[in-house]
Amino acid sequence: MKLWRWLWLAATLGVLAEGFHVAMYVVPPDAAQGNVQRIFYYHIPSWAGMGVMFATNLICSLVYLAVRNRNERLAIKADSLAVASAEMGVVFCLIGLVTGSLWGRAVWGIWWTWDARLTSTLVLWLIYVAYLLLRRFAAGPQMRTLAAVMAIFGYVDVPIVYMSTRWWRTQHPGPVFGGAPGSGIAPSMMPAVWWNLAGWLLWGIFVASLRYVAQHREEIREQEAGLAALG
Amino acid sequence: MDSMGHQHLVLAYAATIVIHLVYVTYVAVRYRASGKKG
Repeated sequence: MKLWRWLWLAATLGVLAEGFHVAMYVVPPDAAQGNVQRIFYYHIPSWAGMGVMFATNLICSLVYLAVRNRNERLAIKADSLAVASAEMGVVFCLIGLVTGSLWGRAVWGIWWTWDARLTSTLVLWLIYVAYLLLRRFAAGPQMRTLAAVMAIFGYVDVPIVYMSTRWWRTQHPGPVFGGAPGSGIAPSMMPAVWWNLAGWLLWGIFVASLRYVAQHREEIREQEAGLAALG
Repeated sequence: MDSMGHQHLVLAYAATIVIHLVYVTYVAVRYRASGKKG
């Protein structure tokens, strides 16, 4: 692994450690929920990470479709990054669902409810799992094209998830940031949000970059093997 | 802190760490394997 990646990892672990310290020991407990509200500091960065990764997947899928017949090198790079970002997004989405469910059990008394936010998020997770399964069990350039198209249609659910608490009445709390007047959290709690947001985004980029390198090497090798078989 | 809230906070944090560790292990294996000459 290159030196800059080790430095990135060290910085990431430092930010995550500080994020843990601030979230658990520095910011005050929520007046209504108590300490269980601290789950929020892991829940929100997971959704932010998921949003960044699925947006990256969308952009890479569009690039792949645009250049696949003109610039094969760029197409392979875009396709590799699409896979890496989709996987990382699925991981973040899973953590968001699990931490949300644990919070719901403590605060609502139930693990799950089929409201618009939770259901659309579960559907989103299943769409990207299906995308990864398609990539795993199909092969060849047509699979990549099909996966890219699927990723574009799959992304349609992202704004639906984001807007669900604004469009429909949900069991899930309304938007914390950018919501109705009076929404938001106390300024004294914000450092825990910022540290964890930064830490988990750095972590997501680090892991996705490693996954990208692995995928890119594999796709290049696959291409070379195909050309060797032809020649 | 009430015990149920505490338990769920610890579980949520543990789940976050475990899921990330499982995935990064998978990525590390793929990364190393892809670096070897086939």
